[in-house]
Amino acid sequence: MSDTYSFRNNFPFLLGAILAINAIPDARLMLDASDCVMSIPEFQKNHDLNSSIIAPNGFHRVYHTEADVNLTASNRTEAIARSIMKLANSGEVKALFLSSVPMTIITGYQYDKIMRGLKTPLVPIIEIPRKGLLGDWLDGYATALKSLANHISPSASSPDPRKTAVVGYLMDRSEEDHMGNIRELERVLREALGLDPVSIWLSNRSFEKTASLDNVGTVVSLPYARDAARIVAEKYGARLIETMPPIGIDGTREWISQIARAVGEENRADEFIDRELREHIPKLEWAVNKWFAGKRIVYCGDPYLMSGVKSLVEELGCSFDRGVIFSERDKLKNTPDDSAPDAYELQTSAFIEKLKSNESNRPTDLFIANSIAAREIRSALGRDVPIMEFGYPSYSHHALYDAPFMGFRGAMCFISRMANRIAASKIV
Amino acid sequence: MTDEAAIPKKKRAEKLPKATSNPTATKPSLPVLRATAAFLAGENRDGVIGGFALVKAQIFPFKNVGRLDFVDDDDLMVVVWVTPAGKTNSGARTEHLEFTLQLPAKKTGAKANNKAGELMAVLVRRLRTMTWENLERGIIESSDAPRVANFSRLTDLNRFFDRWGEPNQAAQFFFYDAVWRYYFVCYSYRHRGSVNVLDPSVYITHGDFECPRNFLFDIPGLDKYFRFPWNMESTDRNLRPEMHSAFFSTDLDDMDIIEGGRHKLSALLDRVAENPDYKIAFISVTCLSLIIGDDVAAAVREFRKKRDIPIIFIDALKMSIHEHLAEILRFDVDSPSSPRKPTNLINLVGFPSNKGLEELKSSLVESGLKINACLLPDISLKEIADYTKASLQIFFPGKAFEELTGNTFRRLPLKSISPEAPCGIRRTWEFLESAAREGGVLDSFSAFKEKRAAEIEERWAAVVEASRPYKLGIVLQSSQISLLHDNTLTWGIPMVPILEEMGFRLHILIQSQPGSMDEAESLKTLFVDPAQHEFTVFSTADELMALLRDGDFQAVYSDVHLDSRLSRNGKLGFSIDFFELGFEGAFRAAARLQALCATPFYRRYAEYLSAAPGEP
Repeated sequence: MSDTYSFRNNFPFLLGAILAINAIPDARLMLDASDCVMSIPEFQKNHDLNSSIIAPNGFHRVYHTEADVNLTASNRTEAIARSIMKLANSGEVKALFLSSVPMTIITGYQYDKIMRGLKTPLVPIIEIPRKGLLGDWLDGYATALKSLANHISPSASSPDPRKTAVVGYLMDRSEEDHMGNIRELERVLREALGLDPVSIWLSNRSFEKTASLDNVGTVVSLPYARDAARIVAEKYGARLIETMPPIGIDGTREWISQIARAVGEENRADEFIDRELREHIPKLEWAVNKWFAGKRIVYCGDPYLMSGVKSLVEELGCSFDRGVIFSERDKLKNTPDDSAPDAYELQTSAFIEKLKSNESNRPTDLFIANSIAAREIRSALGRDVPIMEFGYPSYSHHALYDAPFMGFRGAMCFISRMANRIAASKIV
Repeated sequence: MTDEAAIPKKKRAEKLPKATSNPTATKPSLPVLRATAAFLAGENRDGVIGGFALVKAQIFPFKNVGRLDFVDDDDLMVVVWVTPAGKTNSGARTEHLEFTLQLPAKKTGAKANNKAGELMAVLVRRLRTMTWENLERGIIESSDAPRVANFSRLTDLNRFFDRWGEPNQAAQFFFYDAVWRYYFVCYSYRHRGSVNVLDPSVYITHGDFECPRNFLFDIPGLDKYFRFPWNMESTDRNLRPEMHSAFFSTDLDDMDIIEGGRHKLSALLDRVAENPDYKIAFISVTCLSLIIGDDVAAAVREFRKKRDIPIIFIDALKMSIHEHLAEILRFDVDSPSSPRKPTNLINLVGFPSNKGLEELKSSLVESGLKINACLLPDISLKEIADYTKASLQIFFPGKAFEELTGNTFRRLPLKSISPEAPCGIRRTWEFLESAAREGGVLDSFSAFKEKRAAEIEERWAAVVEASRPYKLGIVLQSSQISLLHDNTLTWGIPMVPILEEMGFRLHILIQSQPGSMDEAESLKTLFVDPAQHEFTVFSTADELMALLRDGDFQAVYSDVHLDSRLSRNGKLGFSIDFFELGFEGAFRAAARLQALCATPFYRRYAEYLSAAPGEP
């Protein structure tokens, strides 16, 4: 059967918007949609054990306007306004975001006009606009952060170059892998670069704390929200440093060095890097030789983590192969993978064919894959295939204790997970 | 217990569902939608018409609606939901009635928008002359068009997530109506495991990328908001059907919105038609495709000419599992017309498909019976074809598939029985005896019982003893008391009697008016040994939280997965999915509950859970 009609391995725009709301614990999202859209938030707890986006007492943080196929063509201005006000004025909520789905997009509702007509909503109401049916989950997340950036208003205070915002971190869950990343990013910014991290977008912090960017003089941009980072930098008169995520040993070293060059802290950064390497590298002396050198690794997941993972596994002596990248092809523009061969949002059937073909030539020693890809891999190759679940979504890997995957500490955690999985598959 | 085998052949033929063309509702055109909107926003803005409050009215044209044989092309239908005027829908269970009126095309020949307006006018006239009592009894005066096409009672029409912020929800742990809609009515029932199609199938979605991808996450093994009512782990028989099925989408883009997307669907269906492996086709149409007006029905008709396989046509206007599956459930009724001669060949209908069922089947076989077919939630074309070889069909109690079986299985010339669910030891023996009696194998059953009873009773006595230290909580709103004794509201599982049989003590917490103990007193008659149990009335959510915190019970019933109302108060949750069929299923269910009660974690550390990460 032709790939033309096979499902693309990608996630919808709406998911990205929902992940953004999940990462601001006192924000809510109103979707102009029917209740079908609740399918995404209701499953979030399978990935994020700490998610509060759906509540057993009925006060969910995502809700909908009850639009259905019949009502969509009618005048729903009042109903939408009523739904918005219901959530905006319900207490506990500190910000309300608003977005739509394909069924309602094509009716062309002017949500901004409806929002202007609302009587005294108690909290900010922020639209996450959509461009037709275009965009995937990474666009949804980026657009939510861009809307947030457009919403905030800096005070008159002058920028302090030490005050740093990191904009464009994908906080897809509030478990200890991502919370560990936040701690590690803040530690590195402080200790290696002498910066004062005031806010990371997004980092599971309240709306007020997230939006508190006064005096920010440095914006470190990560790829999940480049536009938002640019807007924040422009609004605050801050310098903008565009980076890839600090994945792996060399990736982290490069990340620190890039920021250090921009902020003039090369010596401090070099000392920090040297100190960290002296602490961590000895622990890898035998692991690299025993488990990694010569192994074949396949990556399936988020495009923005791919170059970091590739760099890491190649440092350890592994060969790297891309399986399927869960995004539209435009996401790798201006990244180290821009010229890589085509594997973007590969359809399921093509992905499985590729897997089977590869496995017959040379078996993969470890798949690093999200849960959706992992399911397809197991379906094609059997349940015993070595898979390390990583990225969004991760249904069978959870982090209950500090387990970052960014920065030096993150690299060590990541390498430990890989080693354990490869070792387990070798023992008969 | 019913016995429909005695219906004369001619009558039976009239009652049997007709083998008709595939139900393919076309999209509501914009004029029709506008007429609906105008009606809803017009003179009936307050929604009160005569003695009724109009909850919702949806109007749409139907074409080739197979089961509704009197419907012609271009007929219009309006589905109406009403409740008595003056009754609000706050908190307590509210009754709604649903009925459908049809306006035949030949009556007017008018254009769609005029017809829609006329149908609405007829609806208003009809509602003004009807009474709630008559409507409840299914009596709708219909001397002229529109005719009554369908009639059913709905309770709590609200969708499962639609009750945002209702204060009553904080004290609600049973969500029967919402769970029913969620798993058995909602468009996505197929994703949720309510039906297992065992034959290789092709699933086609005509629409945008986003809609079907919302259900991407709905994969087996993940927790959903509600607990699935039955334990449904995979067995050799029901291994996930998608493993041998294919999924395709037309993946409409912005240009298709402008130019139409039917060509994509036709091209996809052409490719599917070439593949002889697919035995059933599910074709879903997303809301977007309905709104842009693709003539999906025509594409499906073309496909039907190329491949003679059952087609399940699903769109956002037809939500019910019953409407969809009737297409598949076509039985061979050309066999003998008189009541069947009793044989030991039996069919099982509506039994949760899991390990417990497989064990129950073994017990039936050991009792001298043979299993001919086991349908719903499993769907197997071979078993459907062979179905009428049996002389007896046994229905699982409960309403999950009630409407579907009523229109199909129960009209067949087979002896039908609906014994209590074989849950727990006593009811399993009663179930087996009942099946053996109707199947004419009582002697074999007696021998089986003689062989097994002593060993089972001895093991069960140990189970009862082990359950004695534990107490389970059940929280009910006053309108939910029937859940304690009406098994149809607990998915056919007689939960409270089984818990008593297992030896658990219970603490029943009832939300009622302050100071009222009448509710609690009246409840005691429903228990075998009420002295073992405790009954408490509360009125507010805060009172309930205090009772949950201070109560000496270890686990509490909840239909919601990972219920923080329980964990924060030091308790764990259990649900209907803890229970299984048959003897070994009863032992496993008791062990699950005992293990839950023995878990000390939440009792010890609840006070530290109040500020869980991820919450404001």
